[in-house]
Amino acid sequence: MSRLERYHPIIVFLYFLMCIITVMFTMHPVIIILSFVISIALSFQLEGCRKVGKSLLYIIPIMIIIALTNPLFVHDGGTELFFMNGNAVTLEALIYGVMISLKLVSIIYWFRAYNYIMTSDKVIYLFGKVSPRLSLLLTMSLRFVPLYARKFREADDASRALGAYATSNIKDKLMAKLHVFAIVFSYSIESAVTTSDSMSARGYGMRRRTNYHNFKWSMSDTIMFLFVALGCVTLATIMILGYSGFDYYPYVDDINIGVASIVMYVSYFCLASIGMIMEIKEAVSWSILRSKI
Amino acid sequence: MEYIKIKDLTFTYSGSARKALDNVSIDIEKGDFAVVCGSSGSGKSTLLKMFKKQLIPKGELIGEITIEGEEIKHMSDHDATRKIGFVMQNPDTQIVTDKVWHELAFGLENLGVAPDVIRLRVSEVSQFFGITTWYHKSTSELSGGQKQLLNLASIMAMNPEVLLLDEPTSQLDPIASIEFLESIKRINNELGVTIIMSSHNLEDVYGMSNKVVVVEDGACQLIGSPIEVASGMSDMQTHPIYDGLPTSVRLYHGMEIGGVCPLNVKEAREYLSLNIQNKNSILMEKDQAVPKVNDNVIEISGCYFRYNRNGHDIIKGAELRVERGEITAILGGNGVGKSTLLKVIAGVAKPYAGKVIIEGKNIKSYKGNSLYRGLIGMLPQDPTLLFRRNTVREEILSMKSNMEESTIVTDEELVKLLNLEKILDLHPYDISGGEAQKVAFAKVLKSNPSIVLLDEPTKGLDPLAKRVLADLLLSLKSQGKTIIIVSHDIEFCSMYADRCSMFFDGGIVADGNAREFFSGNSYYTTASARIAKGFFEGVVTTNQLIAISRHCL
Repeated sequence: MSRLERYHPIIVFLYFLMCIITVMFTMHPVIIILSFVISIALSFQLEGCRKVGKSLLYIIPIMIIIALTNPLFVHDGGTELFFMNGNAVTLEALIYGVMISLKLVSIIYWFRAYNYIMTSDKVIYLFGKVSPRLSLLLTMSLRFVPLYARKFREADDASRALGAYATSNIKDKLMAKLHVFAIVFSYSIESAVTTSDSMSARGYGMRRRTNYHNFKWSMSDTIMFLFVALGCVTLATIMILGYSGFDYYPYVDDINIGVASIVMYVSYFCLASIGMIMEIKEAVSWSILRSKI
Repeated sequence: MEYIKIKDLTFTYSGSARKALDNVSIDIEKGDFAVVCGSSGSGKSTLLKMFKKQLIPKGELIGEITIEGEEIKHMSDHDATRKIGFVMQNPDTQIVTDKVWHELAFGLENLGVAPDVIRLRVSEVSQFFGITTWYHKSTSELSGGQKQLLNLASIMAMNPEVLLLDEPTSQLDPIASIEFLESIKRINNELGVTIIMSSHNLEDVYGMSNKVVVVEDGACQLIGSPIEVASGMSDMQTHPIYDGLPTSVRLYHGMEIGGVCPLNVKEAREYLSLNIQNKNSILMEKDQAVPKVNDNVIEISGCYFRYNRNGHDIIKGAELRVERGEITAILGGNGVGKSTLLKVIAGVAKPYAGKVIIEGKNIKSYKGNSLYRGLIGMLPQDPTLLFRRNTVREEILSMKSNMEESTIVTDEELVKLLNLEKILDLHPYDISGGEAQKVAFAKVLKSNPSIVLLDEPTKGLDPLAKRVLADLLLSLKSQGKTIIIVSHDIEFCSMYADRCSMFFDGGIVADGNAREFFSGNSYYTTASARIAKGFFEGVVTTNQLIAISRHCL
């Protein structure tokens, strides 16, 4: 279990929210590149080289397509590279395209890491904070989907052995599947009656429900919360002051290295990479502990 | 004073003229373990629901049910939820949430218990029931036995004083069912919880209880201690529940020599050693072994199957030969892959290696639907998975559209064969398990298959329905059909199968005719064979045991 997984769901949620929102609302190349590198590194760390490496196989072509699409359609920008069908393909549009693709991909990987860490019970816990009813609905659907999927397979096998799939033409197959679907539908209604009996037998709908969960707020959660909050406030202040603005047209801006900008880069770096740093710290302390044995 | 008291209770479901419960009076003491037995539709489920305020069905209720002098109807919702727990029959449909820990907490959440208290309670019950190793699992990953144990634990988390169980083991395999009953016994012994459980298979639960109630046609026919009820049943051998009594009790009745009625295998062995003359082991005459003529309808050789590429092999190198016109039983524990083997024979699961030959032809060479036209019919484990019409009649008629050949069995023949006249206009979900199975049978037999495959056909059936099923199988056999049963119902297979095979670890590990097969085993065998061990050899069924015991008096 990774370190990030052990933080309280609220902390994890806030952390990812900040990382994603910041990169969504800016086109600043430093932030985008930081976000890109850190999000992919974090995914590698969490899921291992094989899985993330595989995903890069289809992500990289998408990146190239996005990066090339912008200069083909946008002809703003002062530095012309060459002409295509009488339209200028500009360096600025190309850089902008590359930045957009990095931004999108980094958001994809942030979400990937988020999905990996935020298992269904954490999501349900968070939902429960907002609406207990909704969270119960969510956990029930997570229960029913695999159940009905299994029933569908069983019913499908049963109808197959009855000779329901008369021929292999598409129309017949589709009709047979529809038939199986109807069977599972009536099964689901029938079983829902029992489920609702089971719920009312255990007192559902009686009075105000409490929401049980397995999460405990610990000291390290408080420290992490303060850290994330501090990072958020700093970043938000600087961004609102306008330091995150960046123009690509007609010419690409120079990267600002004033104090405020540096603080912005550093605080984004610290905030985004804290997940990774905690993972590394954990790994190091583990190996130290082990070497002492 | 009685703890729970039912007095002159009569109940009629709304919209029905028949009394579901007719003038029932029962007293139950605190700490009792009461078993309510009766066949399907006898009213035992209705009776159980009367104890639980939230589950009392709509209808007319006369008489009174009280717990500690308080009427159930007037209990507060909180008390009715907490004090009285109810575990239902189907392990799947009563689970509400997706995680084990959440399911355990569900009732307490509804009661508004603070999360810290829930944490303690949930950890207590998971340790009591041995759930700690799968506490974080998804409920969909659990086996049937684990699911039912979870249902029990999630009720026990609320600390009920009375536990009601409606046929809790009817959907479980024998091993899981014994484990479940052991837990119930622990709850009764160690926590003093009053238990009221309905069942129609009394082999194991009978000796655990201290009160037995026999319900039939909504009336309470017998009530008393297990021994009292056992002697009361001695002249009721045609009673629908009679075959459900423990073997030891039926042996006691069959020997007709009186004494104290034995309630389990151990007591039955003591009873035998006291009463039979000949202490040396007696070999029972073997009946004519059916000779193998090697007329194989199905031949499976070197068959391998797995569900997905990275999974492990469910079937590995299975070899099976099935004789024409016989009833072959494939036995084995849960999840060993015997249902999968059946699917391989039915052509639904395709093995990645090995040969399956049906009627001398490789299964692969049956194109399109030809395998399911007059050759193979499979009855699924859950017969309702074939139903989607509004009445049984439509359900049977609907099969016609798929058929074009002249060999099909007519609807009239089917209805007569399966004795379905009375239920033709009912909804297929409103009939009992045994009836649902017969309707499914009608659908399967429509194409007049020469090979009939049955997956756990006795699951959830009461003794009477089992007997009806057996008669049906024997009549199909007399028509020359080959029947393959996959089951863990040892008693049933020992009585009706010609040949038995044991499936274990992906293949058939042993086979033989039923007699040899069961009398040779010590663990995987019938209660009769276990009672007879050391006294008589070659005894498998209760009737054989009774016959030979009488002979040796």
